Amino acid sequence: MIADTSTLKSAQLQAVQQMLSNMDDSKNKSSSASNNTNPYSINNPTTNTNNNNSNNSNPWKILIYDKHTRAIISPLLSVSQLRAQGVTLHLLLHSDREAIPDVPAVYFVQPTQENLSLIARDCSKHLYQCTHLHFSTRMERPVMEEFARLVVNTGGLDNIASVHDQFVEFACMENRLFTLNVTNSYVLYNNPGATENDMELAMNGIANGLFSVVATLGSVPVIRCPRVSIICVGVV
Amino acid sequence: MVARKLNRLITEHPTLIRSKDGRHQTHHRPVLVIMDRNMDLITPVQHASTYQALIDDVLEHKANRVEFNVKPDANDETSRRRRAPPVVRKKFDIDPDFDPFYSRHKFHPFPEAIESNGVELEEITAKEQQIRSKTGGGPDPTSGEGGSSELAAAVESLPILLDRKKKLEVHTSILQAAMNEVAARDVPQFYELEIALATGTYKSDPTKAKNDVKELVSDATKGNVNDKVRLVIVYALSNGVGNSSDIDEVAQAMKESLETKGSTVGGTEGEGGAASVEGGGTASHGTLSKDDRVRLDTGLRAIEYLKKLRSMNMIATMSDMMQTEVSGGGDVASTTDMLSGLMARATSQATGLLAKATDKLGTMLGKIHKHRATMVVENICEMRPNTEDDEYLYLDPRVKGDVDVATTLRNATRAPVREVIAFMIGGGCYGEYQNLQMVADERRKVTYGSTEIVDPCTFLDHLAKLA
Repeated sequence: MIADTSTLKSAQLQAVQQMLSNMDDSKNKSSSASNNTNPYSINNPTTNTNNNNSNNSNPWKILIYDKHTRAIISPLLSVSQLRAQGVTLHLLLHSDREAIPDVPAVYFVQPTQENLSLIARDCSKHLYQCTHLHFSTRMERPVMEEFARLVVNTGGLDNIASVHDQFVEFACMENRLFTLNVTNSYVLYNNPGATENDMELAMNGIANGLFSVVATLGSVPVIRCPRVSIICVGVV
Repeated sequence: MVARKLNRLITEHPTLIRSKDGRHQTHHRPVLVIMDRNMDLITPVQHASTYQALIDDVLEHKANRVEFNVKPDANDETSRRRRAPPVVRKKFDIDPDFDPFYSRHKFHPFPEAIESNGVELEEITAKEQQIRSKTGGGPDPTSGEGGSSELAAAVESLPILLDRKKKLEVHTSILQAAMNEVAARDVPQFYELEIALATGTYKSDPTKAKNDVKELVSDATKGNVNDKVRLVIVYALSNGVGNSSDIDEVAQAMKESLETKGSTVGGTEGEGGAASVEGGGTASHGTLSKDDRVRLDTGLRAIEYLKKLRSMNMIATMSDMMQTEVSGGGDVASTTDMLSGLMARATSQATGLLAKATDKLGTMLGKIHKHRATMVVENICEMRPNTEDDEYLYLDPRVKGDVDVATTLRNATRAPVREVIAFMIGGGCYGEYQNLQMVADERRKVTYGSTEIVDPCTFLDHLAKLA
């Protein structure tokens, strides 16, 4: 079986590679944004630091991920492939990281409260030359505003070179096999003790994951599902 | 809920919905089939017969990395000198798309993978020797001027050849490790009985079903605790059950047998388990080890949960759980050929692995069965009337949000399905992934996804948590 160009995995790989190489000129960023980048992406040219000029001559970068996004990247790119993309170092967001002030960093993480406060802390300390933020899924408006406030208040704003939403909330194990990596998913969806709120969150998670798949494929599908299943359809 | 939420997400997305499918032709839109694990609970617990699914079942396998323990050969020089030969932990990353052997054989029946591995390895070793003799023996005097360029080409091809050989040898050792587990636990016997139950072979003979299951779960030499529990679960979900007290009877028989006779097969696989099968025998004989006790309790809770579902009529009657492909004459013929080839090889060469394989695996080359999800997806793709194609909701994000498109309208606009995404809510498995590929062909691609990919033993744990 030869890897053909139109599989889910190749589409996701393309999106991730674009993310890793998309550092050259921030001003062109919005125009060169891939299909998978949300048009709401906040490419804020005014926050670019002078450092950006030196980016062009420095192909090296650091990749910062969380456990969730690591699971997305690892079946996609090997360490040597990452290196070919200019990633010299890849580290977990939740780890003690030393300052490397002359190398730019690409953050590829979930937009959780916890992650965002860690990022804000890094930025305020100017841990890296500059910071490119890529979130694995769409960031809710209030979360984004909260984060913006935090970054401005802690003085890390000038360190942030770009912010993107990616739609890659799924891990491609093979060309035609993907998982949303929800642990204990059967228990989660069939637990009679689950509250309505739990269910709502779980269902939103699945819908978001599937939306990522659809967005990555780039075409609108027809959706089929059993009428009787509450999980699939909901109460009519 | 998921389908409607997704439909809304797509509809409300500003660019996706408006893009006139630049890359895809509009009349070949993908079809996303969203399914609920509860429609088929047999597939994630039943024993597998294909290479990749078996790796996931009997070895530790996660994120395309496989791990297992290898006991050094007892006759080996170095291990004979030491008192207790250390068990070596092996780890391999196997790429299902780019590894040539794996991508070709991951969906094939296990014995076929073993056979192909042997053949390919032989071929490549022969080629290697050919090259080595050329380079080692100096230029052949008879070949004249062509000699040096031929030599250069041969030298160049050697590293590629050796790389291929290395990859094949990785699979040889994975196949060997899986084979050890399969043979020690008599997996084919479980596989065969489970398939018979799931395809309704026992439909009209519940007494025989009960007795056959009871016999296998009470045999201390066959299968580990989880194997037995899984068989009971398949039984409980099948239509071979006369009434629900039969399930209790079978579960009780398994429990008693395990408690009095134990299991001679060390229950060592699964999450974090160290897979050393052959040694497990003497230690656990007669009593139940602590780990096995935990496994049994978990298993009994899982069975309890399924009995509850059954009594609440929450699970579909499993009469049509699986369908045996009758028309696939070509496939049956080829598997028979394969089997006889396997036999011939085993008798002529009697290589350990192959001999064991033919002995234990004959049944794994049997008929081809379609699992529930495969049947649903096929019915929808083929637009078969009076099937799920009519029953299932039809949401089209392009046609106003949240409306089930009427049958008449959808029939007018439907083109052949070229791309399917089958998505299982509540845990998918490699067996299902492999089975779904039956719907794929040169013109139609099937992508499979799930909220998570679970191996059978992990799924048992999940079921037990709900009891």
